Amino acid sequence: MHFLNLLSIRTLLAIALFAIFVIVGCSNPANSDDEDHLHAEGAILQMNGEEILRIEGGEFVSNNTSLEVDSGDETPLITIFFLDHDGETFHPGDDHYALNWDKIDTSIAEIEQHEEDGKWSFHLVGQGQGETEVRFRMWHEDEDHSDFDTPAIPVNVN
Amino acid sequence: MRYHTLLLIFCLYIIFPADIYGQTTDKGEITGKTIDRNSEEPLGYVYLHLEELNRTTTAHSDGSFAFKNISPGNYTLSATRIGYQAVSQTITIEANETTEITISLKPSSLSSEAIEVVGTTDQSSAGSLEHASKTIQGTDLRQNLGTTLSATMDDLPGIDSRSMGSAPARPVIRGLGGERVLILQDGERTGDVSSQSADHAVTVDPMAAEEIELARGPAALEYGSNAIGGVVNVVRNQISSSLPDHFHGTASLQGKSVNTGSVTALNAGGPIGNSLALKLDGNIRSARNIKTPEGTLTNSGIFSTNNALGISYLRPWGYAGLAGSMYLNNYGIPPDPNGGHEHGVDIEIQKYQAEGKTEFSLNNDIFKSIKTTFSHKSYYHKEIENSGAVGTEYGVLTTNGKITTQHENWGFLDEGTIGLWGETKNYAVNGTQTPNSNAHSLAGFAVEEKDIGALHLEAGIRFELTQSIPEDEYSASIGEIRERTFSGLSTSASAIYDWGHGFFTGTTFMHSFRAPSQEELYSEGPHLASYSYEVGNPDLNPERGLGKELFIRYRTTSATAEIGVYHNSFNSYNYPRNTGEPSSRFPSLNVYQFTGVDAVFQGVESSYQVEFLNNWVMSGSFSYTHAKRKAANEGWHPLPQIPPLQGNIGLKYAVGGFQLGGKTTIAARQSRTGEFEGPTDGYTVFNIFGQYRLEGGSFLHTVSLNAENIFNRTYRNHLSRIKDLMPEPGRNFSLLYRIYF
Repeated sequence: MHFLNLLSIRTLLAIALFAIFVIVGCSNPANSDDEDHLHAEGAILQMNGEEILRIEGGEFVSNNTSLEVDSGDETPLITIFFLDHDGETFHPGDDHYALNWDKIDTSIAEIEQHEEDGKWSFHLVGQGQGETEVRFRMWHEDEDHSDFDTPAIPVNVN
Repeated sequence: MRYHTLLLIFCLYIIFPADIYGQTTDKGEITGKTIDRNSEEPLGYVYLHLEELNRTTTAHSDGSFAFKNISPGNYTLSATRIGYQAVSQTITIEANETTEITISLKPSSLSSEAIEVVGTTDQSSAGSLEHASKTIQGTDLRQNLGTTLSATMDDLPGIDSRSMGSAPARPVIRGLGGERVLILQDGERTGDVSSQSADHAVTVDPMAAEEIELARGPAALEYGSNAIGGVVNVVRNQISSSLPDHFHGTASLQGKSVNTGSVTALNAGGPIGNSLALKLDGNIRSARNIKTPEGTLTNSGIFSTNNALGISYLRPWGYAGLAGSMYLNNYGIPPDPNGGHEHGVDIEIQKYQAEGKTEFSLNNDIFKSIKTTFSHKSYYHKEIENSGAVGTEYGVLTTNGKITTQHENWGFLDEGTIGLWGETKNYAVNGTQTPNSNAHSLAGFAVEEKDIGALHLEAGIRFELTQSIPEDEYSASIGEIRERTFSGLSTSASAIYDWGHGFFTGTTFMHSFRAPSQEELYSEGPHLASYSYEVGNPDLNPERGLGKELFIRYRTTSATAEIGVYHNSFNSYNYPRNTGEPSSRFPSLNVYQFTGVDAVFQGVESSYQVEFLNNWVMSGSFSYTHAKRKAANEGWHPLPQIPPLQGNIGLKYAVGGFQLGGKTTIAARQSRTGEFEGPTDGYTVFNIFGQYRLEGGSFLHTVSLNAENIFNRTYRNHLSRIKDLMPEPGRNFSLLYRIYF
């Protein structure tokens, strides 16, 4: 009887340990199966097929370092391309990515996208005279974070 | 599968220990009483520690206490109590006999650290200064109790706080931080990522601490080969190692004005029947934004809870115990318009921990006990941007196991600890290019002691093998992501000589080895909360350090003084170097490249306490660290985040259970700055404090009132990552009420 009591206490302890381990868990909560992050190292903006702005190493390397538009007007279609480690342009090839932007003062300018133009193209629309800035981001929609940011690009609305 | 096999072995170990170690008889007991030396009245709430067995108990309100099931032999019983000098006493236990003792404690005004050692000098034994350690407990712990472990410790000379707002803070010892300072809770690693980055909080709440220990030198090698800065152990006693004979504990309530903060805590333990001991503690902390003389520090609030439940099964052969704990913390990182996030970042931490401990007493002339510990921690935190998007997620699964045996009188050695330790760590980061990886470590160690007359010697050795394995091997922009294996030997030796009349001289040498961590090897990606784009280095070499220290101590019942000098040199000191270059992927963040350089840290620290006119105590301390790194072809340059010359002066009046005092902290300007780091002006800050304790019925009531930065002075901590955004907190009144039962 004494042995049974001891055994039951120890068994309870062991069961308690198992229960604690089940609660604590053995799988890493930050483990994600979708780990295919794209690695852009730069970007270019093209308007009417011509490069208007180039960013490499986090800095502007083109002569032009801003975007301009007249108030009440919109630019022709602008397309952003990303640059890989070898300087080759690419667009993320799957549905998990989209173009995102922030920092822009929408009372001065807005970014406008049309479905038929594709998700990497946009128009800059002047809303009122002034200066603002815009930062474009390669948005990883599944993970809800950016995989690449441009520097803040100055925007002048004349 | 690996975890389940280990778990199964451990559970079998718990179920059948008595059959493996069959000796359960021939034990002795200690019963006794604690009294006030002046009045000879019984003294309750005395904390008693049987050092060789690491068993503790608290005396009843009538001063009575007992330890049962003790193997025959000689033991050291230490007793500490708020407002009294600590004492130590050597006790001989005979088989099947009860040893009765009376412990007499003398009232004292000196701080707990000082009185503990003063008490032991009565024995005139240099051995009582083993491990050259410092302890924060009792009155000091209540007076200094801060929001973080680091803030609670930073009054000790040579200890500073690397901070980034209200919650994230980590101790920096003699200029050394990160993994060079090992933080433990009840001797177990915390399993968090606080060593990695300034925005990551330490997952230990100081409110749960019964005491905080700091160890350096040979004793540190039991816990790691990398802790050249020191080992900080928060004693929480989640698993009782002795059967208490009554329920006892504390309940605490603390409030702060500078952030409208409050903490509620309960800590209780007691027996269930004749062989089970239960221990539970928990706390809830909340605070709003910190107020500074220059305005409110936006997004610096905190809400956390830290709870634990432990149960022990205690028998004549020893004990086996289990504990589970939960740590949740939501806190803010203040916004930095120039540093990458203009709206701040919120961080949510979850940590769940399970641990088991066993100790078996051995009926052997040399080997006295075998201890095993096993713990599993699941840590997760996410960093949430203002938009609600999750920026970065960190997950770490850590499993540790350790087996040690303690011996006495083995050959020419007086006593020591020999053991094996293993760890496996799964590390995953989401939101970056950093690959998931595993790290496996195995170590063997021995820490030995020897007394030769007035000379106390300690030596330690630890061999550690670490293997870091990424889930995939590939060629990345940071280098070849691949498996790395590191092995190295760490050694340490310490000698303390007792010159008599309270004078001691000591020296410590330590050769440390630190394998690069997974984050140092493989990191690549943005870390908004710390304003950085982190770039690992898969080619990093292990860090090797050589530390030397020399100190002189003077300790009597009315005065203590200590001065020490140190010199720590490193081969491949691995740290994240701010390159000053914007990231090509996230231009608002600078690239921090993990790099290994030769580095030297040297300095001096001193402290003293003098009791005069019976009720007055004057105290003071100062510390200075000079740190530099060797740059290729450019000579030596200052390292970043090194504390300035600083010190404090205090005066305290104590009578009975009442204390009132003031302290002035003075820091010089720090102009020896690292790359892209600005200087920090010197400052002088004044604090006052009062404490009162009252014994009534079955309770001991304590009240601590602090007024910090009473002149609302603007000052900055050089080790704060946000020192350019906002100064340190302004005037603060804090009140702590703690009841012991």
